[in-house]
Amino acid sequence: MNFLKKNQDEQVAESAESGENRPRGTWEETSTMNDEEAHRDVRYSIKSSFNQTVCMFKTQMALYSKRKSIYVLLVMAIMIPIIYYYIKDIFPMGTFTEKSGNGMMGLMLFLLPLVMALFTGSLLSSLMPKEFKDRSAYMNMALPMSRFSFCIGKYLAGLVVTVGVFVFAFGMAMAGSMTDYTQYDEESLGLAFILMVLALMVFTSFAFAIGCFIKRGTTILAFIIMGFILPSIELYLAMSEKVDMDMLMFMPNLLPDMVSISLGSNATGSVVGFINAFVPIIDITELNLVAVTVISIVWTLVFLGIGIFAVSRREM
Amino acid sequence: MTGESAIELSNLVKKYGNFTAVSDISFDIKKGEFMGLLGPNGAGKSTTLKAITGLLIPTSGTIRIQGMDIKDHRHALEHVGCVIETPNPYPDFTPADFLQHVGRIYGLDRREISIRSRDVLEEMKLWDWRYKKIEGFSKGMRQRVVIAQALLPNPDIIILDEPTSGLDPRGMVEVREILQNLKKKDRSLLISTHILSEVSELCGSVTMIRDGKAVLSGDVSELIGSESDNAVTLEVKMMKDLTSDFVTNLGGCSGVKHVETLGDHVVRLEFLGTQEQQADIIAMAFNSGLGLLSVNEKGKNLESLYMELTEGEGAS
Repeated sequence: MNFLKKNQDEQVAESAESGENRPRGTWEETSTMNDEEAHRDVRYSIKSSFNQTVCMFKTQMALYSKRKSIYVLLVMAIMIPIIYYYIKDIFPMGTFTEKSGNGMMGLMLFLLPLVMALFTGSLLSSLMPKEFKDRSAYMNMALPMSRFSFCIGKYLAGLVVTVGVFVFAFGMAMAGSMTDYTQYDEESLGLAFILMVLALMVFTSFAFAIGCFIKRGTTILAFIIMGFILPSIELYLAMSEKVDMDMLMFMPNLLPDMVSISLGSNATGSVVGFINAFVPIIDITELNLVAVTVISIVWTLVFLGIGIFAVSRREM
Repeated sequence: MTGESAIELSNLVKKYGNFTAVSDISFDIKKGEFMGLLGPNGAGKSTTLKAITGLLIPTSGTIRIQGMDIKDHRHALEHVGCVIETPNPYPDFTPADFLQHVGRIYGLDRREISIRSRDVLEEMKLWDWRYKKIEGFSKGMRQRVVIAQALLPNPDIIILDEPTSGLDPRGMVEVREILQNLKKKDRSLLISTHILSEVSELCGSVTMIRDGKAVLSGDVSELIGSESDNAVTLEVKMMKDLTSDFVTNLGGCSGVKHVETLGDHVVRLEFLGTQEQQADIIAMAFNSGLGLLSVNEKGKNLESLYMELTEGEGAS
């Protein structure tokens, strides 16, 4: 809205010159507009659903730009290589991690599972509850916009921001490891990146769906389920041989662990990662990327659909 | 096109489990008509407005806005601006940001948003606050912002749920003036309010709701006329205590339909007669020796009609 400010400044200047008390219209695109032109009776028409989804996306991005938590996480991501530089000597390289650039990256992304669960929970779980708590939903849902556009626009903004932050963190981890290593296995780097993006889709859609069902926003539920409950259940089933250990690689919620493991670091800051450090239970060489991708996309679509359905049926 | 329906409600029913919030409400608001929706707390006014604006799904009945079924939410509300249930705009936004969001959803381009934003913000006396964050606004100012967003798309139909709630007396007057101006532009208005003077001043027709049912509907002037048959209420206040003879004599005067004592000093008469008969009553009271203090005449108005129709409703 900068042109509004500019026009107002021009208007004030003009009115000062002319001696008028109230500024009259002077617009960027026209030389002068009088009150009659400004108050003209125009009938507007809505644009397509796609356009409205984009509008909602832009609005949510603008809202996110005003949230401090995103900037905090960006600062934390910048700190990754800085912290590594000062404490690298105490990293247990070789014990749980390959002695390579990839391995170092994997170690620096040690907390990825927990941070991903926490961040997506914070950002996406609160999307809908905040709308209802702040009562902005009463305004938004009475606009000539479908609830589908409303939900998708908001979710996509959350996904874009989340992917942006974690890709930045990925880059910072790589920058940090470059202080000691210059050789990287591009294939495993590529695999790790793909797994991270899939993981973000899985975690964001789940957190979004959780948020669509709860009235008061809380980040804790999605975080606990994805960070602790699900991995614990899966681990128990695998360790007690109720399911095949290889099935763990198809669990979408374990994708963040697989990011670090694919980079050559067996230890991750999660329930499964902790066990995997001592008893390797995930063999990344056996990973079926196509199957994992399909499962992740289906998971994302299912939970997104559940969330949108919940919002579409919600009565105000 | 006079006579065309702006809002058409047919047999609206809304149930929440076993509880019926709205039962078989029907009304038809023509283009250019201003209708007031009256009723005590919990009568079903907000439920009716929410059903019209798509915030909830009716159990049965049809709702058409400019001939379009509300099930086609996007197109039915394309030319509708509304304020339902005291929504809150996004607190992190400024009024300029907020109107930009609403304007984009309604299909306004950048230039139109700037023109309309200036228009409505000046009308709502918020121009100087356009770059201030809404979280710092008072309740009244937030109410002005939401009314501004309802007016932004230059709608054909405006639906307002207690629009002057939270506004100071000057603000109330200003909002009513804005709504009065809309009459000249042949706009339609549906307003739900507890302030009967708002309905009297603004609306040509009224629907009164009680216990989810429409108990009265029609032109304000016709309703007051038909229900009252031009009877007025006279309150006669005497300085000394009333005597039974005095009350009896008053009741025997020509034109007096009903006598009621209110305390020791006031008599209320329901009077339907000529001015000469009214003068006789005043002369009789003056000559009674009890010291006539005042005679107040109250015609039948919307308030008395409302009180009669809602008699027995407790405060909620």
